[in-house]
Amino acid sequence: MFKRTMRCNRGLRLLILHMTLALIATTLALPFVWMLFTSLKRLDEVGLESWLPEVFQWHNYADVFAMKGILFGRWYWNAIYVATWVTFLQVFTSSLAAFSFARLKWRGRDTVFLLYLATMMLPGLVMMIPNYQIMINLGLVDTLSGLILPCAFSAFGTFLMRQFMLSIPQSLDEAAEIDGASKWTLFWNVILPLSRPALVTLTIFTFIGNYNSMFWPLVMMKTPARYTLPIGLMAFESSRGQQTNLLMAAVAMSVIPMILLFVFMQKQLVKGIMLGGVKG
Amino acid sequence: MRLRWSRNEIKNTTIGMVFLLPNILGFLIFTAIPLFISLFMAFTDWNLEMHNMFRSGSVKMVGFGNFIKLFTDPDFSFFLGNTLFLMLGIPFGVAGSLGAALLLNHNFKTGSRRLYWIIILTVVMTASCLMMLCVGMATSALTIIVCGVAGAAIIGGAFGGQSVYRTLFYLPSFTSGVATFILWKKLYSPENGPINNVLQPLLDYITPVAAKLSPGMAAFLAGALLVIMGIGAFLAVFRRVRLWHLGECGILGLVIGMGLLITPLLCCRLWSALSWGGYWGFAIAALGVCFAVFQLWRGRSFRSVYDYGLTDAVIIDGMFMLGLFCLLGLTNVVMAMPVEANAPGGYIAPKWLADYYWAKPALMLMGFWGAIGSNNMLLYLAGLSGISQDLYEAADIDGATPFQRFWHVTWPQLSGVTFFILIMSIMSGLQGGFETARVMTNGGPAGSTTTLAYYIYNEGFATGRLGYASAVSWTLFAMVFAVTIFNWKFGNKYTND
Amino acid sequence: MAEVIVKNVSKIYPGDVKAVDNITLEIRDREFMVLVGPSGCGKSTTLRMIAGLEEISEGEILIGDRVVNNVPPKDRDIAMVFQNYALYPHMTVFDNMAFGLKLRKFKKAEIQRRVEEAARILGLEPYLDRRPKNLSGGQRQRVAVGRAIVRKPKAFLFDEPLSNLDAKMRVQMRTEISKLHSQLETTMIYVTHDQTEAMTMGDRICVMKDGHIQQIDTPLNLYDNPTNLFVAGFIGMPPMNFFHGIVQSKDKKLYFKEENGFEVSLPKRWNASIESYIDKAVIFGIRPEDIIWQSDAVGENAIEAKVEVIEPMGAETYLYLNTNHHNFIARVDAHNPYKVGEKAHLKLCLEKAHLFDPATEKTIT
Repeated sequence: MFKRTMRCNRGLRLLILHMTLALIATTLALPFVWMLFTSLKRLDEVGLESWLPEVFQWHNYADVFAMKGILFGRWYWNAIYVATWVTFLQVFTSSLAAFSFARLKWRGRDTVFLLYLATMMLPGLVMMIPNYQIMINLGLVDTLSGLILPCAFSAFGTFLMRQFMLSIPQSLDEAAEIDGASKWTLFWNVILPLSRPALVTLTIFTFIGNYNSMFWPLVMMKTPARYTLPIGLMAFESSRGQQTNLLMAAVAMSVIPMILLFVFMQKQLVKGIMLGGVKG
Repeated sequence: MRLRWSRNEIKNTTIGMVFLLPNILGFLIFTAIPLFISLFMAFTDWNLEMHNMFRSGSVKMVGFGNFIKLFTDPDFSFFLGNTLFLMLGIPFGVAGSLGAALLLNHNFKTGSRRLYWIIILTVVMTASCLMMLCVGMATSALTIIVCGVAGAAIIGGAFGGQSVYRTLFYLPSFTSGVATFILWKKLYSPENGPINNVLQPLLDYITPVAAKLSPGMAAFLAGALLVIMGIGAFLAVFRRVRLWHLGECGILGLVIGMGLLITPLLCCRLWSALSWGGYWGFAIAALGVCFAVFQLWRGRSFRSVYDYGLTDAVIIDGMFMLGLFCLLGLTNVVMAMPVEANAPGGYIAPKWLADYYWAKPALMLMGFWGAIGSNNMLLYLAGLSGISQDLYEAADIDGATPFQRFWHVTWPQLSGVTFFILIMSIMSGLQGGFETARVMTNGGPAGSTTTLAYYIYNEGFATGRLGYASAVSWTLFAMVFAVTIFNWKFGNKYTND
Repeated sequence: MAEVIVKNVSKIYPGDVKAVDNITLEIRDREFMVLVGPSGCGKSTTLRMIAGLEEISEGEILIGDRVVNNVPPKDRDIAMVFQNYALYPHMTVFDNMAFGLKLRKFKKAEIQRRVEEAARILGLEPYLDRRPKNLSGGQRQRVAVGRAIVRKPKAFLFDEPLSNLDAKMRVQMRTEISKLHSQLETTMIYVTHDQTEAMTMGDRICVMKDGHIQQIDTPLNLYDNPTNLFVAGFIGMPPMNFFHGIVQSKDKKLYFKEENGFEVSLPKRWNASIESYIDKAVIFGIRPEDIIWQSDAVGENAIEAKVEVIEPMGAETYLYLNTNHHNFIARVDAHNPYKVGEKAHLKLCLEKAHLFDPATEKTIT
């Protein structure tokens, strides 16, 4: 009898729990739902109270690419191009530096690392102004490489990778040393493969961060053909913002890759955040 | 430190530097050098159009001119106020993510399949009943959509468990960027945005009810709320002083706690109806400072023996502060209710981003949407999974109620995470607000959403006064640095145990 | 095949902490040498200096007639088995064993042959394609050994390799490593803190404490003739009993008189060495098995003590005894008549007993 009531209670509690969670999740998802439905409406339907379009206007999505003055495809490509390069460079340099900080012993190592850490605390804004001047002098203003270069080195990435690499047992290094591995072999064949969770986390975050980044491109880019997606969307919004249905289609198209990326990578991501998060 | 380098040390250091080289080059060019240039700029009249650091040497040193200008500039304090106001959303966001983490931390897996089917059937039946009711009454398809999404979420959740909900919660913060800001701009659209489309009919429904309320009645209700608020504030102050008296919190905890508790009173000045409250706030704050100085002078130590009081002061009194703020807001609403309702047109939905007073709350609301499922939630989840089950079992054997379990086990165990999250949020809050301001409001209306970050951008890249912009950014840095120092001094205690 | 010679070696860490203090140790070709001592005694540091993982502060180390002080580990021709196995988690068993050979640019076929041979010796053939995390503790340990074998090094170094295994597995691996030694006929240096492992496996044992070598000898010599108090107490389970007292001379016979307790008459053959200690303080040490139960023990070297705890081990029984507030252990026949709280009559056999100087802690006899 007792057991039965317990069971009932548990069922009821689970039900309430699920209801609450679903309610919150729905509330959080509603803006996206609205976005999707609006992007499929006709322009004259947009302001109406009904969320559902009369007929789904799938061609809206194609129309975005065909709009005059809106180089959506171009921006899309630029954003992905820049984000990919930055991610590749940053992950590479960060893991090299992290290896040096975490697995090699050299005089002054910890002092240099503290310096690195200290720069993480600096507001990015402080550096942006002189960086712009440097870019002017390097002649990189309004070029994609000007977007990529300053973002290719990150103290945060180094920190994340170092924290993870520290958790790999030190005796592996010694075993490898006795096996006859050089430091590079140790890095490439032992430590890097073992740092996969941190690598994946860093890769995704860097990619998303740069895909979404707005400040630096906004400062740097003058020619519409070289815009990345975020500032492209801003230009879209300020020049053709009245066409809400097309704007929402553009917004949806820029959000959906991120959603897909997250849904597929979420296990790895969550693990990575939890690994690196609490301690530092 | 030995100065002599052995052969091995030289070799090791060389190898270490080779691995570091690519990163350190970038670090020097794009971080270290700009840092010094920026510091130099802050003391010059550097202008984007006129000067270039590598070619012309004609910049004029202005000494502390930029900083003097900055501190005398009313704009600066106004924008600093904006930044701080927007940061008031942080505690709500943190509380939201803690709540979400607590909900997600339940064990979904142990339920049997049959149980899940029962849950799903119940939900679907309730949902369809509700839907039929609503569709019968109202015309909007919105209800159907909402119920559909909720149904999908619950079915997914019942089978996928934690990870499905976690994904849904996390999406807003993961995708946060220009795209979602534009989306919210459209949501907030005052004439025919979906938010006002839902809100306006509700307000129309309330207007006649509120109009019947007499002004005297409203004043009485507001007064009652104020009394409740007064009692709450008194209890919190009493608690803090008692803790201090018992030696469980130091002067620092006392001052911070009191400061937090007084903030709502100070903010009374923002609402015209209650502006007299502000003077009380100043008076109490002044008294508190005198008292603290007096105690220090008498030899009371700066920190308490255990110094358990600091996080307690920040977090508990912070929560009290939020409660007081809510009550204060409610008081204002009640006071204004009959007046507004009797105005022509009755209640009108706010213009959100286009309204001087509503723009900041609108941004905070959007921030809250993103904050619930952010990284903070994941940090809390990690923290929760790190709490030993033994502690809960011990608490159960001691006969703790669910609330006591939370209060005596979960919350203290999470204090390190909470402290970390708060510090990080404050640091990013001080530097934040640029993207939203640039995309959604252009800093307006009338500068009400211009934060320091946006101010720096405007000064630096729109008007070209790089020198002045650098001065502002270094001032901002000083504030962030102060928070960091605070974290170093007190944070380790909580993050390391 | 090589001998390893450690000559006047010290390891000094920053802050003048001497982990190893001027030790000299000669490990003969094909010998199984065990370094044993309590934690922090410098045994692991010594091994790691031999491996080349720690720099040598002073002195020199020779492996097969070659001074290796500045030779990197990979060129020292040694192999090492680590306490936590240190297997590469992302490689299969085969790759783990082959990694060292691949880095040394061995031919594919040769690698294949050697790994398979090692796998056959260790019984790892069915597991070559598995990852370490899918293996049991004992199997992982074998892989770690296998990784060492395939290289055919001059010397094997073991750093507490069995301490992560459960008790039963430990006994099994112990015999397997011993077998391996007789099979491979290579120099092996084995570090452990467990004196049972040391006794059962070593050709010779080197006992260390606080960075100093206490004694180097074969297991039985070590057991029978410890050079000092520490070695006497460290080797043997349950440990040797120590009594504080003085040497007395009565009727031309020498006695050991325990502080306000019993008297023991000392064998005549000791007279020469303990003459100078008459009426001076000494420590008397006797192993638990040399305390014999006798129902009617009276007269010389018989003592009476209260039984406090009885631990039957099956083949024998440990009696925890107390005489005049001094606790000691006797290891007696399982079928003894005593119960807890009773008085036991015991006889001390002095054949293998020892006297120690309390000041220098050196053995007198």
